[in-house]
Amino acid sequence: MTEEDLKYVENKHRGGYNNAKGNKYETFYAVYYILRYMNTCDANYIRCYSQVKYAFLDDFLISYKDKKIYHQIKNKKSISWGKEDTKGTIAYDFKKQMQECVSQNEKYALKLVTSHEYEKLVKTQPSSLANTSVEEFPFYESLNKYIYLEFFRNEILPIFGGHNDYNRLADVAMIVLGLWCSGDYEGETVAELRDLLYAKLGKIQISPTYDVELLIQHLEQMNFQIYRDGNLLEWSWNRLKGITDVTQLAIDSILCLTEPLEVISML
Amino acid sequence: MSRILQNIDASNEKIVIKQLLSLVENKYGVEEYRNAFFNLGKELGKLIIKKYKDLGHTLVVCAAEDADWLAKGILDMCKLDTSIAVYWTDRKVICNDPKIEISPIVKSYQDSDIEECDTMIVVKSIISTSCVVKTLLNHLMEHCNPAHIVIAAPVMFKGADKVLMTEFPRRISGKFSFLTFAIDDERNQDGVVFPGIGGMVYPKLGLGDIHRKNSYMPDLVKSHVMKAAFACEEIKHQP
Repeated sequence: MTEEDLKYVENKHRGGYNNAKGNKYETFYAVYYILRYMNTCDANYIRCYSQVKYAFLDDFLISYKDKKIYHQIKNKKSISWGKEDTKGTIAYDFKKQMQECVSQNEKYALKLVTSHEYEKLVKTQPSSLANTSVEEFPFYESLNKYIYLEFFRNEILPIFGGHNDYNRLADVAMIVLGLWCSGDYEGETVAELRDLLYAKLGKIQISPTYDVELLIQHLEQMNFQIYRDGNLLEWSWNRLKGITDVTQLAIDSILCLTEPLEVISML
Repeated sequence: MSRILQNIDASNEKIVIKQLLSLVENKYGVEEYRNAFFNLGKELGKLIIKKYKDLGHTLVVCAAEDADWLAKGILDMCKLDTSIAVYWTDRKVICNDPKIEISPIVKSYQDSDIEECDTMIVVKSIISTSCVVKTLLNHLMEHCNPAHIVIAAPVMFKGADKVLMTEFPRRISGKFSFLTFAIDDERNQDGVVFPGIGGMVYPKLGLGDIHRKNSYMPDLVKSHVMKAAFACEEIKHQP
């Protein structure tokens, strides 16, 4: 990279960093991307980064095995590629990134993510830009709104084995948002983020134990319906239901109770 | 501190202001605190009947800590064709800066006919970050399609209604209407609304801390469970 290019990307990076915390669009896209790959075998190989230093396309970077996918993420009502030789245009940044990747012998792809004018950007994409694509992603003020969109919901469903519950989907999306915004887990694989997600959901794998089996039998004798997933017990009795972490229960005390409503108070 | 009062008129001014003050003054014990919520619930109930003429089949939704006092006040006053849905929630902070938290549902009670409601009334002691109300609505939108959603709380934090509106698509938020008596615009250093409802509601209601409160089984839920069990028995023994 030349001195001039270095100065250009440093300025770009500074501006992006200052804007990043408030930039919901970039953050929500990152959450969507992470969720999309969480339940795939690629999760072990995908790492995500934001505000990438020394890159012309610095909003979001995915590294997948030996390939890097650079993203520019734009939430603008009016957007165009501009001219490749005019500094500051999208086309300029894409061209420079492409040249930088080629000079570094990198396997790469470049992506423009946009909330508006997707078809126009596809039609007018400069033909000189190799390995480049445009992706449409809507902008909403709140992450919660996204779970009401079919395409977004479909990405999260596999994480729960298909449980189509808006509330759980919202929790999953918010946890990933929190992990991403904390900045503590940048560069971790998506598989590691998934493990952190399950930990935040309170889900851990534990071996079956005698007292938990006794508890389940006791509940079933009182006509509870039980489903167990690791440390989490999903139960229902009449119109009451819930989910509880068995490692947090005073099982001995519950085993002494015979009234379902008293048991439920302790679950 | 600037509190804005709303929906107050000559008929309810004395009682609403007195009950709001009871919530924030430290000289009252658990019984008085519970009664204040019950009375505020009744006043909210009167307001609901006055404002909404044709509620149809109504679903009253609340958190477990609000069931036996605030929600009961509304139910007693309205005497509507009503079902209930009661939820116990946890609170988890995922990130401190920016503040990102979730309120997962850990237990629930739902009457059998909640899906048939025409109007949903979501009742809360205070709407501060809207986290719990958002969670309850996300859960219920899976099962219900009411024509109206009334969100009622004696106290709301300024702007909480607008925040809630932005969390949902227009086809849902377009059904929202908000009812409150007091809008506060200050928080203390722990983020608790001030004066609000006098701090954390659970110990003041005698329910313990934020974890112990999930052990509380409302009388409202017990009575609905018994009613449903009795109805089942009657059907079993019908010739």
